[in-house]
Amino acid sequence: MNLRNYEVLIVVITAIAALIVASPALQRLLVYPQTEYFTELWLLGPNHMAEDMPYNITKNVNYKIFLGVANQLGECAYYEVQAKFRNQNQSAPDTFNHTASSLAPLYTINTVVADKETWELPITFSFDYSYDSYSSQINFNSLTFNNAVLNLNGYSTSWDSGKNMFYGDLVFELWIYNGTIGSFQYHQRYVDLKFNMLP
Amino acid sequence: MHVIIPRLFMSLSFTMCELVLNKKFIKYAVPVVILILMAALPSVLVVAQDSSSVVSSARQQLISCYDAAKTAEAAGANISSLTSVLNEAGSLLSQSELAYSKGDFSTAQSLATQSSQRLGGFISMAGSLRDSAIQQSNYDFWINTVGSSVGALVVVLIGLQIWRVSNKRGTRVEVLNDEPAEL
Repeated sequence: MNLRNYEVLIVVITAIAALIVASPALQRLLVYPQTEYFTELWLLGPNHMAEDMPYNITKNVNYKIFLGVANQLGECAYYEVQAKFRNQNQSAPDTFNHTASSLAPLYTINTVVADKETWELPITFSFDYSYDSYSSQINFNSLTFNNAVLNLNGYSTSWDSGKNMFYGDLVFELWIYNGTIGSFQYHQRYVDLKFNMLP
Repeated sequence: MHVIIPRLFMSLSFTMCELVLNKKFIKYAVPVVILILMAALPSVLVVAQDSSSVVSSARQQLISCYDAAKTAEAAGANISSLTSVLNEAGSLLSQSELAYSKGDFSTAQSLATQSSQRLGGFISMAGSLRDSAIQQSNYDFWINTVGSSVGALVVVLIGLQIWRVSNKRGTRVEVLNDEPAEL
């Protein structure tokens, strides 16, 4: 048997075997580095899909949604979701200027999410309010948020003739803990649900 | 008898009214009422302050535990068990802060205490996960990285040796074949 005729085969088999044996080491070297760091924030409807979001709200009726956060920051993060409620005239988060609403949060949700992990919270909410037909205004009493009763005394919304609705906006702002400054800062993202409050 | 009791009542009422409207009575009664209120108010403020410090302390503890989890994750540990605990404690803290904002200081304090208790032993647990991750990382480095590199080198050397042997044998066969036939 003339092994010289099999030189090429020997070289090829050696190269393949070397690559297979070296693959654990190559895995560490050939990892594609992460270049984009961000957080995802979303709201889903009661069927866990981006549809059937509550819009026409009846008082004291429960509505269900899902709030989710996914961490793509490359490290574990401590988030705070601030739930706020506003009418059409009150301060809203500004996407253009990347600023949060100046309203005080009604409820603060604390969550820690590991890198490349997802966190989701089912939310059941209902509004208690009264309708003042004389002033054509809805006066809120409370928001029940996952069995926690949030005080909405002083909150109201007037009839919006342009949009033909009693406007209500439930906002979820995402804040993130900054270890350098030792406090939370607005993470420049929010999701919200706009409602028509039925008298 | 039935006439005497109403008269007695009426006379007592009149006496009380005279007392109340008596300026001297007002002069001494009002400061006493104020002093009673001042004695009661600090106790309410103390309860609020106590609750505030307990809630604050729970928040600070959550932050410290988050830092420990982050360190463990950076070492390569799987921190899903840690984040689960942090989120439970975070939920209690949220409820505590809500209760505090409503002025329900005793509930706020209770929930904040529960949050702190939930985080008991967390930092040592995070430390153990971190240490295990570092050990695993070292093991992975020596076995997977160094070991596989050396293994690949050995395979290449074996292949090279086989190639050299095949080369030598091939040359000998050629030489034998090239020798001229004896006349």
